[in-house]
Amino acid sequence: MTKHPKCILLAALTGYLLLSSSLWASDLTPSSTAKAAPHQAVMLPKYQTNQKVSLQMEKGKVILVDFWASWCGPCRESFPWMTNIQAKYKGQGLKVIAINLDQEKQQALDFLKEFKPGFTVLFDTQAQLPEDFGVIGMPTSFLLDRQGKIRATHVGFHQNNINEYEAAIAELLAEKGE
Amino acid sequence: MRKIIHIVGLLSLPIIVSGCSDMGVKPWERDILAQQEMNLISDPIESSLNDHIYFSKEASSGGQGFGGGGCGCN
Repeated sequence: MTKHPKCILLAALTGYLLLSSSLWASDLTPSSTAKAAPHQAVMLPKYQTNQKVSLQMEKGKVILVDFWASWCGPCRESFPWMTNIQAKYKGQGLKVIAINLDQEKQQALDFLKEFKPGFTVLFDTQAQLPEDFGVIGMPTSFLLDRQGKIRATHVGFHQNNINEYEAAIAELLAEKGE
Repeated sequence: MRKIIHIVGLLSLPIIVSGCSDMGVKPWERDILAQQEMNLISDPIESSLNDHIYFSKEASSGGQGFGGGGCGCN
């Protein structure tokens, strides 16, 4: 008899966990509560062409903004993956923008020579963006929807989460723009 | 006198409140700190020998010194 309330509580908790959307749907922040990405107008020089571009210029696309540095191991791992998804979803409107935070640009250039990126790389040598984006580890990626809102974030790069990263991208690409 | 204390107190409040908000190294600033020459050591040769023995015994390299190239992601 005394066990009864516990059972009910347990059942309720299990039910709640099973029904909670965060377990089933991907963990995208809903558009209504998502914040717009900061510094969208900041112009940063592009790798190879040195042409200055900003996030604003890519509005209307789904953008994966990835903050990385040459001295960071997981960033190294993420490069081939970013090249792949850029190629795979380019037609649907995905833009991968990797923002380099090396304080010594030459190290970044050496790294890029070795790990030829198949996506856009910008240099933020003065670290203007990471603070307000809220970078808490390297690499940190932010997924922006077509309206420029931050809908997902992942810190670090883990091979076993690749499917989740990709699912979130696919979901945003499929969203109808208002 | 009291007024002056009040004014000084009020003026120093923002300094006190924001005092520790900007301390520490940001994750993207760790590259320079992680370099060999940024180690807090007085004898580089002895320390590198020590490190060598340490990581041979521990079967792990890096992680000694300041950042060890750590990204802060794990």
